[in-house]
Amino acid sequence: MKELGLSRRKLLRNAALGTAAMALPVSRATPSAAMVKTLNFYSWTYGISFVKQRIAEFEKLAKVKINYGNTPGSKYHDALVVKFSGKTPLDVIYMIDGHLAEFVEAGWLYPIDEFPRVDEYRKEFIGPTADALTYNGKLYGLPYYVGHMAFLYNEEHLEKAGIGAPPKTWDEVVQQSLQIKSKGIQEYPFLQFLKADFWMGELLFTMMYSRGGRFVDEKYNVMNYDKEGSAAAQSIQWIIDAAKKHKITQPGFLELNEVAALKAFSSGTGSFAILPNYRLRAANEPKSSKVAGKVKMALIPTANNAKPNVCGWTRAYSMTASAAKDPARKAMAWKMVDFLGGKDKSGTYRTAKKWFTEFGLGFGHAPLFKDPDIISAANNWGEAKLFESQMALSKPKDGQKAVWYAEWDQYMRPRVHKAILGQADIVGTLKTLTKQWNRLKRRYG
Amino acid sequence: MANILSVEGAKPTEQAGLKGWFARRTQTEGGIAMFFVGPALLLMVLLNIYPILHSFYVSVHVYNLKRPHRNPFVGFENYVMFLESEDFYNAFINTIVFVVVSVIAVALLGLIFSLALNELGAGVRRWVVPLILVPWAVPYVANGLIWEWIYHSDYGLLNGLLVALGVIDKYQTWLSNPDRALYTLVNAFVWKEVPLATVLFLTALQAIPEDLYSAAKIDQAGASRRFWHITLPALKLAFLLVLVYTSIISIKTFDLVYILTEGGPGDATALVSWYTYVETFRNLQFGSGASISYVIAIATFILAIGYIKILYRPQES
Repeated sequence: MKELGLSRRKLLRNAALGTAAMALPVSRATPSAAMVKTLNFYSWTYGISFVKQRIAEFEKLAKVKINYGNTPGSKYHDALVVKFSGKTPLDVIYMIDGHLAEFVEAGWLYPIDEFPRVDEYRKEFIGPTADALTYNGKLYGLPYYVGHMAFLYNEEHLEKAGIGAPPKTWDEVVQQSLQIKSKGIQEYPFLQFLKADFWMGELLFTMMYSRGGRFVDEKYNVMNYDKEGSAAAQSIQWIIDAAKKHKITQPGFLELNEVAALKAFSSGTGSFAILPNYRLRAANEPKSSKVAGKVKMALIPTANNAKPNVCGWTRAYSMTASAAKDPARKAMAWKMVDFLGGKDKSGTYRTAKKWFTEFGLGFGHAPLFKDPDIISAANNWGEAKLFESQMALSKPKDGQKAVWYAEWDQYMRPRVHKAILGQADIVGTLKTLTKQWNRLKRRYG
Repeated sequence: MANILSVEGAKPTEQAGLKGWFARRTQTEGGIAMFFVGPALLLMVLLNIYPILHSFYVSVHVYNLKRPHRNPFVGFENYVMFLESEDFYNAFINTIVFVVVSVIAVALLGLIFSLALNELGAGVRRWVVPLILVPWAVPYVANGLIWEWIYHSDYGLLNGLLVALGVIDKYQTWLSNPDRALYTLVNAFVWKEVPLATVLFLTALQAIPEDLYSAAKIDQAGASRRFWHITLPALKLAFLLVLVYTSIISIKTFDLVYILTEGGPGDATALVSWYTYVETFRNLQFGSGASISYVIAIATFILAIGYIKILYRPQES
């Protein structure tokens, strides 16, 4: 053996290496989540105590330590970009459907189609949920919650003003607001929030959808968006008239964000407001609202004989691409996504159910509409059937799955502000937005 | 000079290996200096120089995170693109207004407060100076949040105060009024930065020999002549410090925009720093974001050099 240049020690070492090499594919094929000791989870700051409670349950169940971080929702996109570009370890995150395209294209997310039970879950998704979480034919998460903008009103104010039913059209919103104003019940009955942040798009799309408008078609071609008298133009004109002509919206609405609007409405300011549907629960919560029990929801007012469509969205639990690089970590990350977004052993969407009953967050799973606990909770602060009807009429933002959507959205905000402020012409602004959309489409298309 | 690190009795040059190499390198003053400064220098190169060079590399490439695998070299195209952009031009004008008004206000108010404090007795000053430094010690984000409450158009303290004093008869919009919004940011900035300027001026004021004022009084120089001919020239270095520091900080101001206005209403408060942030972290265009950062850094550097050229004379120091 010495003549061949092989000592006994070398031979044994090589044999051991060979055995290990043969064993490697086997261990790759059967990754064990148990090998992972810590997992990194990142969310926005909402219902933190409940999130921590679920994390503790998962840690016990999966025998893993969760490093949990969070940031306010309005800063969430930017915080994730900083973390991903700085290669901060992240395994499971909350995902916003409007950012899905750019995050997938950036290589930050991993599709979950390969995992068990995903097909079963997908069959039970409601309306646009599956579509909202799918990009290039792949599913990128399980629903955390599904929401939409909702028209809320203070029933007591309407009664005091002698108004029998909430408005069904945008003209009626003006009439009823003027009636409330004239009786001195509220100086600014329509509580508008339109700070140039994350929620601006959701609000403007809602106003446009409820007037029968569209922005782009499925191939991202701009529709009647920038024409004189289009639903988008009508929406901006209505906002201007409400503020300047009728004086039914508070003067500082361009600086008001969504959270501040909820706080104002809950303190009794405003008779009407468009807020995310889950805020109905908070507005009727006696611990935090002065108008608890008086806030009701109605279908969104319409114009042009349109259907009462609103802008809706889906938020998800998603797995990152960096988690998927290691088979064991991937298995553990899926376990967590499944734990939070899937069913428990009894076949119940436990986390989603709790989010609704405790916080009013909508769900993306059809069976929950028939759940007696859900129906009972919904009827406590509203009407379950109305929730279902408005949810069915919600649509995601047109074009949000274009990889350039977020860039366009950012471009849109100051320009619409300027149109509202009278610094730019409405149709001219819409044409500028169309031009930018087409420019981005050419660049990325 | 003897090598302080050499082993007694052994000639450094005769020692072999790493120990010998080390001993030979530390025979001169320069070598010893390098020994102490080297690690810090290395750290600085890693933490400062490398990012600067890397960001320049990024600025001359397409670095769009939505297209992570396509990073062609584009030369100065990113620079040309943003310099031609209407949004950048608007942000540039806003930044100039913000910087000029802020720097003048900070320097003037700092000077006035320091002159007033200088007149107080040492015992009182000992208590007052730490107190006036409180706003400066407040973190930038907290400062933004404080001013959000103060400026709020529905329940803000400013409106409450002005109505109570009879200055206005009904609540006004501050942050959502395009004519006022930028100046509300300036006000929040000045509130935070004046304390440091005050302390810097105060320190310089206390270093002026009392004899000079006594001599001037004997020569029958009035208060204003003493101020213009003794006080102000003695404050030149303090002015230099305040102007350079405030200019740099004001050009970099981002937190106030981020917390208070997001650049709005419209683009009334979009500063260059905000524009850079949006381009980089919202639009994921790291290439063009880096190019703007580069231009801001160079502009700031030129401004600082300008101040030094105008105000600093070595013999005066």
